[in-house]
Amino acid sequence: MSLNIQNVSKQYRDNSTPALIDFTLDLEPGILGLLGPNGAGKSTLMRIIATITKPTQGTVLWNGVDICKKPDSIRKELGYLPQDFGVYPNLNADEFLMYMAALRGVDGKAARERIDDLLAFVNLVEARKRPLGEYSGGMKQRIGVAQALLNDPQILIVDEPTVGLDPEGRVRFRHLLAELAGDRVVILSTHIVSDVEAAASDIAILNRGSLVTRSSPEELLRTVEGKVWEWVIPSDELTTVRQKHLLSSVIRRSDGVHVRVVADEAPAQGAEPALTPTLEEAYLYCISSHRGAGVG
Amino acid sequence: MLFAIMRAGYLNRVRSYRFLVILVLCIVAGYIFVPAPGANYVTLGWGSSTTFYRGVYNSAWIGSMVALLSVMFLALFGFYAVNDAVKGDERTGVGQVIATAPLGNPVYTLGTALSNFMVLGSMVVIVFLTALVMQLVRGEIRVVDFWALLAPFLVIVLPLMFLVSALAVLFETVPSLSGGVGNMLYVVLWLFGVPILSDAFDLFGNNLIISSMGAAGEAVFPGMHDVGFILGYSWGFPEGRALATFTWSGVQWTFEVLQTRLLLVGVAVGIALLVSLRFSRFDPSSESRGSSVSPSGVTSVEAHAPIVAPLEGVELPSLDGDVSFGFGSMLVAECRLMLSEFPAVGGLGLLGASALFVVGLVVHAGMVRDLLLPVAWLVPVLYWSRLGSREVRYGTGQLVFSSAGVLVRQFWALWLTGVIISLVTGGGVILRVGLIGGLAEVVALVVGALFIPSLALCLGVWTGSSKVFEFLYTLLWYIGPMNGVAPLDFMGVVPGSVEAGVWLWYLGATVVLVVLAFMGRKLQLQKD
Repeated sequence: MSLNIQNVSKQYRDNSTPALIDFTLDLEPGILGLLGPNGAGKSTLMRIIATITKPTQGTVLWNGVDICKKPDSIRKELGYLPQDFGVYPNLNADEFLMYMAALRGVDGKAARERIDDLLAFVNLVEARKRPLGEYSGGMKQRIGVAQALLNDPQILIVDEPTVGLDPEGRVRFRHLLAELAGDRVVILSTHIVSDVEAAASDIAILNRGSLVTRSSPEELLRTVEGKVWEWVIPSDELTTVRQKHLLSSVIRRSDGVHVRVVADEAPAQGAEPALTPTLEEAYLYCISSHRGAGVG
Repeated sequence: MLFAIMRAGYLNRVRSYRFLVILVLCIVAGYIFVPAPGANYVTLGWGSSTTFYRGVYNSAWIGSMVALLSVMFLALFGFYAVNDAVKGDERTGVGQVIATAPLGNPVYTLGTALSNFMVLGSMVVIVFLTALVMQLVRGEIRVVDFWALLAPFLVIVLPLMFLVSALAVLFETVPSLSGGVGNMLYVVLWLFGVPILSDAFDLFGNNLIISSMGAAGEAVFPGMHDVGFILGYSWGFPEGRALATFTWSGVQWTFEVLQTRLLLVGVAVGIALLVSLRFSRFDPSSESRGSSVSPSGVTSVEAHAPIVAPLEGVELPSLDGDVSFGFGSMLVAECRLMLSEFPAVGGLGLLGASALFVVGLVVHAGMVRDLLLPVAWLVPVLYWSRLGSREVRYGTGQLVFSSAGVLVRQFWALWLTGVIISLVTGGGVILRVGLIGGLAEVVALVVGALFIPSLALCLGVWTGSSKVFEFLYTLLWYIGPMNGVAPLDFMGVVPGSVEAGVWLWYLGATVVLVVLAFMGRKLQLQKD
């Protein structure tokens, strides 16, 4: 099982800036966490893989088959949770999932059993007969998660899946991803670095339509070792520090403001290297380096 | 604040591809309204079998003629071009921001009516400029009297456009009128309202302008009044008919005339302000579930207490069974989705359809085709109109279009759902006609049953909206089957239309519409 994204570029007609530029990535079973700022091209990449949109250049191969030419080759094995999606408000959860099951090719008894399992999993059993139009944002997101898993997909694409979920729902979803990842390809796009940290075995960072880096969380953390600094400043210096440095954390305590900064060199006298850099700091370092602004 | 609402609403809509298409249609309409001397159609004048009388194409005649023709055209089409301002604010979430802003309801509704008016006004400007160009193109009188050309647009067309703008806000903000029912009702109002309001209040300025034109013609060609008056596209200019022209220098725009037109503006402002009293200010709790929803399809109100279950012990087993992609399950799923569209109707919809089937079998033969079938095929319009547009309406496109076999399963299941509605509601009539009539009659009826959902699906897929079908179909239904215009009789109920082979045209149209719908859906699947 493999997904090969080869030299993919995407240029939308109504935008002069390309959404993706010569993007190449190979995926095997496991969870790939896609990280990047707004407009980095994550959702475009997801939509291309989900066959919602075509790349302007390049090819995407699913198990060796070009999905631009034969989109059904991946659609048959795809579970997709888009960032923005709607539901039919007059259907209840059961009816909506039955409709989606029919679309995903799951029929009859198998569909009914699967829906029971999924509603239990996303914690919506008691709300299953309520019209979706009455659901809150979080409940709707859980229905989105359920529909993405209806056909037990071989490739699961989830775009910002934990947005709107409560903390319990987020933990549950991370557990699920970890459980699913064994024998299928999972692509998780998110702004929430802790989601990737908890679930992904592999991380790809995008910026301005290009792949900045692809590595394991451990490797990514190593890139920022010795580049995160912490020290205490008076609160009236915070604005100056914020303007001069890449600030990753601010904690106000009785002895002053404890700041953490990502920088190649010690940013100030008294700044000490942090013992445990976080993945978020590694991400910030990576994005800043790619922007070419220099980190310091 | 009023200006900001008006400006934002206007810019948002004119910067769209759709508006560009509308402007092109305005130019085409303006061109058609001024036929060339040798054209085989006429739009305004007096015609007998031997002579057609009209004014010389000077600024006054062309301005008034194009104004009279466009005012009716824009009063109908313009309404549909602008009646999505409030819904657009709701759909995009801007409504929620507006609702929390220090902005009174009257400012919002009046501002929206004004932004509608600016959109319609832009269309009027384009039609006016086309009229100016057409005077030079036709070249009968090359001297342009700017005021004579412009005045009918200012006095006749613009005030009415303001009324249409306010009506659009009214229809959008009254829940029972904001959906398909409102779209259909406006066509009916227009069809019946035009003659009544023209006679009673000279709403469209016909009486004023045409009586003045007629007097000028009568002075040159005594007896001209006795021949038939033509207003609107009249095709089939008899060969050898002579063209007689006279000079008309326009209407005197008296204070009384201006007062009447200003009254229209006052009525429009009154409507916009009246609407503000009942405007729900985008409060989701005031919406019925069946009404239009945001693409997210969610009202984002936690209506009940949160449901929390323990984390432990919940696992997701593998799918027990194969993925089969059967067509039957897809068809059943589409039928269920169709029936869910109007929860207030619920099972009564099925009951009503079954009743129509039975009544079609048992009522008097004369009534079956003349009355029952047209009624049976008007009732389900709102179900048909959702075909092909539902994914855009509810924002489910990405979920649906990333599924396998959409073109071979979902598309045909969708179409078949529409055909099933035709056959259930009109099936009794078809069977009855089959028993008492000939094969050709039955075939014509079956073609009608296929044509309607094909038209709905094609328009739904290409426009992403149910509005166009609701409007076009109601118009077609009224003019064709109800008024006995054979070429528009897609049901095969007008006497003589079956014998004339009209159904063959609609069979061809059905095939074309299905092919177009298929192509449209294919484009939706994987956008470039």
